[in-house]
Amino acid sequence: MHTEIQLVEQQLNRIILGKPQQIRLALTCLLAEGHLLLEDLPGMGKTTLAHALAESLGLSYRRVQFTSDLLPADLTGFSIFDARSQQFSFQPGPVFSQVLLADEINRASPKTQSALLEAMEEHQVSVDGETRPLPAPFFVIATQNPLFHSGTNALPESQLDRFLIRLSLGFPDRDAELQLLQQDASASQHRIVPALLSTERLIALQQQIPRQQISDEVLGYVLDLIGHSRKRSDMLPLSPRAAKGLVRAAKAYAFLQQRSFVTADDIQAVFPAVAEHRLQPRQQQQYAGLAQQLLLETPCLV
Amino acid sequence: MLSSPLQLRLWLVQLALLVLLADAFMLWSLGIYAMLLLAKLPQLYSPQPQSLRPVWSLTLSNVMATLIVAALLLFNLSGGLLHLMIHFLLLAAILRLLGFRNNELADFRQLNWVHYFLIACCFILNQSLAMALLIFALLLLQLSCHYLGFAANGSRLPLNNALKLSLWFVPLWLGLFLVFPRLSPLWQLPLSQQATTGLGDELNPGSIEQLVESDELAFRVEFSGSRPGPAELYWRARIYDQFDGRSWRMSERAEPARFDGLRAPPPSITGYRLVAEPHQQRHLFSLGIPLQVPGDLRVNTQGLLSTRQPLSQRSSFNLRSALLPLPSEPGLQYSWIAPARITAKNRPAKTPPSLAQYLALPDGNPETRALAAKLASEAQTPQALVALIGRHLQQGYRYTLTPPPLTGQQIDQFLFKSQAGFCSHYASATSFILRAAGVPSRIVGGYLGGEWRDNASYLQVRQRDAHAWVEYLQDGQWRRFDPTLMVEPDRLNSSLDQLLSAAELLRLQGNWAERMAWSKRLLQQLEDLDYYWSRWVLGFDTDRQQDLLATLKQWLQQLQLLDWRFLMKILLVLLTLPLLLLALRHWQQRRRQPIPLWLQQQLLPFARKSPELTMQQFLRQLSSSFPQAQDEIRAVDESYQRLMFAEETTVLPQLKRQTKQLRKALRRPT
Repeated sequence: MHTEIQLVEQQLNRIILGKPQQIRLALTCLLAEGHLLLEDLPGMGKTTLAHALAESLGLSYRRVQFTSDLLPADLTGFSIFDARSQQFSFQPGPVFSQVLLADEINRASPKTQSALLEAMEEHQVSVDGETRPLPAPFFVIATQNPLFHSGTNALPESQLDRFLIRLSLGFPDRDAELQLLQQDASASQHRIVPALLSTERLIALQQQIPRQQISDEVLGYVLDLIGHSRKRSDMLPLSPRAAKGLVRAAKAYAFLQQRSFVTADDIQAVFPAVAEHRLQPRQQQQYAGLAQQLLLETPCLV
Repeated sequence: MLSSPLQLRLWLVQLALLVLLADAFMLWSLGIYAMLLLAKLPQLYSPQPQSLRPVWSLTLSNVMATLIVAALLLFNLSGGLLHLMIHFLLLAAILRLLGFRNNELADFRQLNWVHYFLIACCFILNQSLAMALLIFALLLLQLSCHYLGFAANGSRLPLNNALKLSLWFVPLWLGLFLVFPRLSPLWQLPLSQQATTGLGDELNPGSIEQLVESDELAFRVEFSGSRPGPAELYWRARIYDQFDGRSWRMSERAEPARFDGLRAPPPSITGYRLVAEPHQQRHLFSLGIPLQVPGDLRVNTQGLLSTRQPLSQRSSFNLRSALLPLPSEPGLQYSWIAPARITAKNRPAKTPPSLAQYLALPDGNPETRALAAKLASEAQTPQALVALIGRHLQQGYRYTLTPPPLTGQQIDQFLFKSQAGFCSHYASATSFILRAAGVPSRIVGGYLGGEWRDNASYLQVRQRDAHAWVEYLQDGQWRRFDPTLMVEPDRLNSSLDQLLSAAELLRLQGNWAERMAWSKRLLQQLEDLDYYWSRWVLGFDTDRQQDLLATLKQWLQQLQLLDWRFLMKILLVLLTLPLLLLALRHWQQRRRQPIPLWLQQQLLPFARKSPELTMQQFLRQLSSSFPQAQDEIRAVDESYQRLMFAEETTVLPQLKRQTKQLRKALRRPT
């Protein structure tokens, strides 16, 4: 059952060592048709993970390094005048790919950030008064440096909300790092990651996710969690979009566990990744534990 | 995890227990226990509920317990076994709360039952209605602890249901109260260290006045037949027969012999029920000659009633009295001849030794002796002498609660100088005159009259009704003479309050509540309520129970419809019916209970689910602490998932079966 996706997971685990839970959450995010935000210090493997994800799933991807002078047109593309045909012709930007890897998204100006975020939400881009649809599937995997780093523009709350899941890889443990260093000696810098899934197959899998079963009791628990966040004054309340995202992510997570129904454990497993960046956008992930607090304080009746 | 509201409530229960059981404690042990309770307090109010770890380690608790138990054994052995046991139990409970471990259900279980036991112990030390209500409130608090401690997390106390349930139990509860056998106490109540109240062993010129200032209840009486008139309501309690020139004492000879009853049957007998307040003394109160007393009481030759042990609880007694003068001790042949009339011929035989004590007088008081001689010369019989004394007292004597202090020759000073006094002064002077004239006499201490309450259905006697009068011997009978009546004839028919001056009255009514009409009325109604509480609830003893059952049987026989035995069986069924219905309801409710709560309840004896854990996390936790049940836990987990998440309702029976097996496996030793 869904062996392809298991294989993808195993392959990713061979590339990013010692982070099975983060890899599962990243896959969850893609299966749930959400965008992924990776937040970490430089050099922790964010870009590697993004690459490996795109390649394993057999998707075309473009990488854009965000800088402070990046313009919206650099992302979306622009029309140039062709002297030979005496016409403007559209040059599609990197956003017209199945996976856009937006590296260091918080280095770009707010204007560029919002151009990308429009594409993320609408799955289309308007250039020169013409609306152009983006390919399907369309993922944005953005990475960002911690906010205390110089030259960063924090993403506003409304835009953070567009990311289904925020992940932080964190340092590998000692064994994983040792293995990493050993691999460095044996393998070349560039490894070829074989594609294990076709685009059609991925879309088919994604379409199975909403059909996962979720009982009223579990939905009740979700509502309890969401409702609890709305009663607290020290965090932002979770929006209905967040609630929908939580349920979708939990369904995808259950799917990855080869189950056709969602358990309360699934909710608890995806909740921090889905909710934390919506609860307290200004806070660094490594300092915050608001989502954990909510989990501790909300009684689970199932 | 046991939450902090539970610990707070347990702490409150212990505090209330310490207050209610304070009578069993000495000052130092009370202090130590209060300090131990205080040690818990800061933790209860700490902001973080997660910090509710044991305040003290087990070792420290044990060391403290050993020290305190050693101190108790050293200093409190005289306090009696019951008090010692109460000390031990409360100490154990307090230390257990100090070392309370959040996740240990066993800790709570022990504490819970010990608390119930201690609450029951409160009834040994307190019996009044107000206290009973307080103890009941405490019981409710403990019940809420019980619920908090054992209920599954996330369930809320269904107050409505609880109330309905209690109503169901009322008939059963009443039935048990009525038919449950009354066992005599298995233990001896220890003698209280409290001061005695009421009449003491000594009658000083000032002692009755002091008593009269107290508003405290002495005893209450309900008459079964006709009520005696006011002139008969002389409640005898003590006899003072030794005079040392200042105060009268009870003679210190051995216990007087038992009174062996009247020779001829009395013309009429007055039956009454006496509800005496605890006064820590052995004497009781009776009218005239008490006859046919209950087995645990005795009557001595002086006609006084006493209990075997000092009265330390409110108790009630069924008594019967003949309202007659008490016959003198058997073998006492004596007839009085006025000293002036004594000639060689009629000189009486030597005074019998048993009479000598009623004639003994110290030296002094010459003027009184002269008066006695003068009056005796005019009298033919003791009765005539008493009448003469009465007439003398009617000339210029004054009845007051605040007489001038007496010094030196006290009787002389009182009779010829101050001429003002209270009942004890008059009784003392009269008895002196009688003895000086050769008439055997003694002072009786007791109570006069009382207040008819609640449409005269019972008589309430307070310390303020304390009184002293004289008994003198004539024709083989001890006759009563109340010299106070000569001075203040209204004392018989009106309460003391009406006889005293305004200033004296103010001195009596120290209680502010007594001064206001409405609060006085309220107080009176509360007193009435308290009386009926002791009459019908505390006083419901084996006799009354048998009376009731006999009446019931008679009543059923009168109906003549069916065999009364059959009817009793029906009654029994009616009483147990609520129980059966309850069981049925309980069973139905269980079926409607949500599955997660049900499963938690099933596993509660083994582990408690933290509220934030999912059921599966809880089961994993369970599996790590009970490795022997791993397989069963896995099976339950799987069925639970299928039922709750995949919504396969048909799995329910399987889950129930597997849960049963799991419980069995959890009980298995590792």
